[in-house]
Amino acid sequence: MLYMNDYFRILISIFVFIFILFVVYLILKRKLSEKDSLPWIFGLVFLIIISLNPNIFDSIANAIGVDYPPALIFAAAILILLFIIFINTMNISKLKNEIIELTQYIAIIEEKHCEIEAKLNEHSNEEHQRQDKKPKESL
Amino acid sequence: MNEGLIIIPACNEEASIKNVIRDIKKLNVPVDILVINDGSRDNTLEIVMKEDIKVISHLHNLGYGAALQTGYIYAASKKYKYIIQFDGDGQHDPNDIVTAISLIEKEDAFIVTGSRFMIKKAYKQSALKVFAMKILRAIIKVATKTTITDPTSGFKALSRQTYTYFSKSGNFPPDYPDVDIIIKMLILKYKIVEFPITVKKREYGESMHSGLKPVVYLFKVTLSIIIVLLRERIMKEGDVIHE
Repeated sequence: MLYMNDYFRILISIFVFIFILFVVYLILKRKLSEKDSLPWIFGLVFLIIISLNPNIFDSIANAIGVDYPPALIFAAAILILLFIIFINTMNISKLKNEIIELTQYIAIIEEKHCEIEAKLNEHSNEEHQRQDKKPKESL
Repeated sequence: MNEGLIIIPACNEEASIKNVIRDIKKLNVPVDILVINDGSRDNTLEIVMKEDIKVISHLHNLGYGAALQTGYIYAASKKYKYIIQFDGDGQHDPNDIVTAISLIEKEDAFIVTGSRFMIKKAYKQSALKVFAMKILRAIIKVATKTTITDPTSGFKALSRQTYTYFSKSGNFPPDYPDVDIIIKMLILKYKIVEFPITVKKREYGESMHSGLKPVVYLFKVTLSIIIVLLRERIMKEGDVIHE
């Protein structure tokens, strides 16, 4: 016999399952790297397990001494999210530094490129002048 | 190529940059001029391209620190004897460049830094800014046992060893380079010389530090100084500049 609570649980499981499929789809489309998707996949599988067997959580909550088991779910969810966000911030810092280095590198290469081009132009102009002069002399 | 390189980081300085460059050229000192255009959205790039100087242009805005570092990297690749960093907004007096050059060449200093506060008269600031500056000086005094009258000055001359060290990507403090470089060099007990400079009132643009910003700035800089100190004490990054 199913209670209202169970319908809700099944609904969440279905939602999470669709989310997992979506993550896998993104990996297949190469829009999400396998490495970056790992915390999400683990987190989602964790959510499915809990929503299908809430008793696990009740017994863990009892064992730790948490009176209200859903509070433990919130705590776990927040910790997982914090972890993912923190990893993101770390990656963004790294990416920022890399972008700065790349931009500097490109800017300096461009300057040197212009310098070399200017020298080449000068050189070829001199050559032209020399070639222009020669036939005149031979005449 | 000349002995020294003047590095001018410029972001949206179309109003002042031309005069700054021309005034420096009038000095007739043996230096090359390099403008780092840091992703300006105005005509800064077009203006400096006409001036027969070296120009390096960032594709997008990376901030003052990164622009400065680009200059260091360039200078390191060309092995200039010294570099002078100079503001593009017209607040520094080009005549002080002559003093900076003579100091960095004669004294065996690693950094020569211009101070806006060594002359009593000139530089007027808001009370909040004065207060922030006092606290900053006190922090540096406690941390390094040295008095630097103007730690946030953007007018500096750096010897080859110094700028080469800070040109490397892990060594450069990107957020508050002016203060952090001074702190780092003081902790490692390298010689720093301060000399008085005159400052003109900004003709154009808005100062980096106006309104309530000095307080926020003070907080961030303090944090940044603490991190530099911790890096030396805990991570023992230690001595870095070798001949």
